[in-house]
Amino acid sequence: AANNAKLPVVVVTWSYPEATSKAWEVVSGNSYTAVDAVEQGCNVCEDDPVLCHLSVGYGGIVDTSGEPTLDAMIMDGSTHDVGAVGGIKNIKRAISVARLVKDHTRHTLLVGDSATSFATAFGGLDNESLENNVTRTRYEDWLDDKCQPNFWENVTPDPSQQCGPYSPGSSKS
Amino acid sequence: KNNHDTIGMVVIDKDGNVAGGTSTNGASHKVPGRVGDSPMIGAGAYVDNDVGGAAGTGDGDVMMRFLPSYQAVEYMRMGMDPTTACQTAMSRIIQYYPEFSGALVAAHVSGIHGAACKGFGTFHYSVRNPGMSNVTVEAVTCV
Repeated sequence: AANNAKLPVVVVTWSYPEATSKAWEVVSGNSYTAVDAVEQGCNVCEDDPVLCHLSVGYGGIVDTSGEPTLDAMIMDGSTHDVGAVGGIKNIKRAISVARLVKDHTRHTLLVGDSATSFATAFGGLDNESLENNVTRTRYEDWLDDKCQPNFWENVTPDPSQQCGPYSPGSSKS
Repeated sequence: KNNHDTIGMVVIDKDGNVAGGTSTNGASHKVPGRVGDSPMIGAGAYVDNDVGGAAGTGDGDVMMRFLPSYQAVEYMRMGMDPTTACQTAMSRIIQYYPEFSGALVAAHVSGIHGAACKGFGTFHYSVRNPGMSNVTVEAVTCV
């Protein structure tokens, strides 16, 4: 069914040429699959997040407690098998954890600290801090700016003016 | 600045096998425990060997309510080209959330690709195929 003149193809959100090149190199090889290409392409951003706007992997975004957590997923269109992780801490290659979930469990999604345990105990991945000076500075600046912006609504004190802890306010109309 | 720069990827090999994936550190100053669209099947990415694949980036809290990657793949299954499929999937979100920002990329098993976006002004995505000597960065004007 494939039109070989236009295949293989790699399509990636944003201007991420390093990740795209890696996926291309993998899928152009003789013994590698499309799934391998997706995993290894995304690993490029996870290993060096500066290449991908600090929006993938470690040293970028933190939550309101100052902690970085990662989400990732990988899907094989030939089987509809999927592996995914949500809110995983202390593991740099989140999509490789997702790959382990896909390949070695009949589950689809693992989350939180238990996903970290799976990655380290089963998968042999390093348990390491995702924080650095960038995350610490961003967090301190946010605290200094009265916790602006944030994602709270309908709480007291007014989340557009003050930091938490918050309590539930009037219900959403 | 909100984080909207998640990597989403679709790869189709020379035999037409499709794979997709995402990886992200989420949204800036998210509430602890928050999980976005990236690990949600049909939201952050979706692939089907009969059709192709799609992947998203942007405001995951809104996008995951519409399964835009699944919808873009289904639109391609119905015969839309990838660009139109992405635009149409995005339009269903915009109807309810006119202020959100996000983007979709898609590739059909024939090898053609496309994208659509909202709220970024211009959105860039990266492509590599046998007709290119290197990665090409495509620019899309957002609606």
